[in-house]
Amino acid sequence: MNKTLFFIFFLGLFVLSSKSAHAYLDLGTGSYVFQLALGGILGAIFTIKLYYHKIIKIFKKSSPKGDGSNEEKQPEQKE
Amino acid sequence: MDQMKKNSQNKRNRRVLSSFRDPSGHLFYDNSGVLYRMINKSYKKHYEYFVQSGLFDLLKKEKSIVDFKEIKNEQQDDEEMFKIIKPKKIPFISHPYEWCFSQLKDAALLTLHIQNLSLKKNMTLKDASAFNVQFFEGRPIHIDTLSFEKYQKGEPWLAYRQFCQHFLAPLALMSYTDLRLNQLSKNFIDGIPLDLASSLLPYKTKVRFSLLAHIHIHAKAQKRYSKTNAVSEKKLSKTSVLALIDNLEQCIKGITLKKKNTEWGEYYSHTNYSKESFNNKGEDIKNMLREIKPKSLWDLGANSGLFSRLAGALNIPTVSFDVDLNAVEENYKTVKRQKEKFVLPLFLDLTNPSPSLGWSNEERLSFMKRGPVDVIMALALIHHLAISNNTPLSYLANFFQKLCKHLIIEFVPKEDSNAAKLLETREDIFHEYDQENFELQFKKYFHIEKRLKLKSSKRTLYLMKKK
Repeated sequence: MNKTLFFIFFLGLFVLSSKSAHAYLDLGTGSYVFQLALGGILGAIFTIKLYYHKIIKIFKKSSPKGDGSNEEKQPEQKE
Repeated sequence: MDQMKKNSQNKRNRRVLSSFRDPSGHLFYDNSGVLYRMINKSYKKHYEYFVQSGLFDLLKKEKSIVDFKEIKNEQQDDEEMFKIIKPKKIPFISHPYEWCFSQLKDAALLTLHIQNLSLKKNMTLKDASAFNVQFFEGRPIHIDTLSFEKYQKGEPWLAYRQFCQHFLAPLALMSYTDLRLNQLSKNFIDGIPLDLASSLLPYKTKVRFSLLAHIHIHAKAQKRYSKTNAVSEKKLSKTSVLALIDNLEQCIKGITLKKKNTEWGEYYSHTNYSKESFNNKGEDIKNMLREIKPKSLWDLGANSGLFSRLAGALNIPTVSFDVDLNAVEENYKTVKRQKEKFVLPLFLDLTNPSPSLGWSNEERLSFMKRGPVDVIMALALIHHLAISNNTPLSYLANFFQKLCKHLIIEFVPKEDSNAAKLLETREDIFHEYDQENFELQFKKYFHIEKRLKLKSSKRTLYLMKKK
């Protein structure tokens, strides 16, 4: 549900704030604009997820050894 | 020279009207009825990239796209012509409104899979029409070689709207509203308008992220920008397009069918046959088919395809039609589970078969125009047409003679328990419905070659040959 609210907020913001510009398109204009908005959001989520995992990986690598075997095992299970 | 040019053009004069929209080329039949595709010069760079990038080989290897051969054509009689190719023949062209839920879902997933692979090879699908998918050897297959274009950096998926209208909207409607809404695709051949889908879908679809986005908000955006000819110059990264495709894929995978049984979905378990009688009927049919050796067969009123399967097992390309979408669904699941290559289950209401549709009524061929075939099987069917639909036997005989060379038909008398059930709640006005009149009417068009009384039953199985 949180994901849905987040999505509605940003998508609404994008669709309502888009301005008419120069490129000519056919009757799929609405779909085109909408896809830019939705694709942008989904792409951003994808990128955030990607970087999130990368950052997590860096922290895992730099975390001192010997803090407990459980902490080492957990990230492996995630992957 | 002019005469040569004219002759060559005459060879290509039977243009297939379903491909007129695409400026990249078109389909045509030669005089002997072989199908070819002309590729225009405007599509040259895309075609060459499609082949050279390895995308075609990749798709061909996994049987996702129809194979083709390039044809040597020395006479460059058409200024637009770049190449002629000969696609592999698909035995029966079906339409999306004849597919069950899982067939449409598999076709949708194939389209997204192809778009995903295309993007990875720096190409993109320029259209996502459900008519570009057919069923061949039990699997969906893309048939349009000209759907692929070089991907331009920053471009969104131009077929996104079409995909939502051709696949997502009908699947969501079949799942959340009513299975029979697959028939809406018959009225809207370029896909179901999203505002209509949005208004027909229940509220609960608005709390599902992907359906809220791709249908409900998408429909609102279409309305908002319907009078605008210009759009934002913003571009979309390839990562974003891939994320969109991935989201659509998850969305389609998440749409499932409600488990419901219809009256005829369980026909075989409620039939009045004994098992022995049922097996004997199957043997009789197999013997008839071995004798005829047909190259094409339609099983009308096939239910979940038990008898179609007998033909399929003899490697006869069989189209297995039924009016019950749940039976077609069951039939298709069996085809998938058993990896059957010769049975194609399809939805068909024989009392109102698929009409010719689209431009000039020639774009999508009617059921009748896709015949005739070598054999039609009409088993336990005639009482439904004659009694439930009040169709005179003379009309039925005339109908079948238009569609086949051989007819395997079962006569079900009024005394049969299933026929009697149809008369339980109505007046018996069918005084002409008896075996004598049945033979009289069918003899006008057919020779009766075999007449077999089915054991432990009041029914008779006929093999007829068209006069």
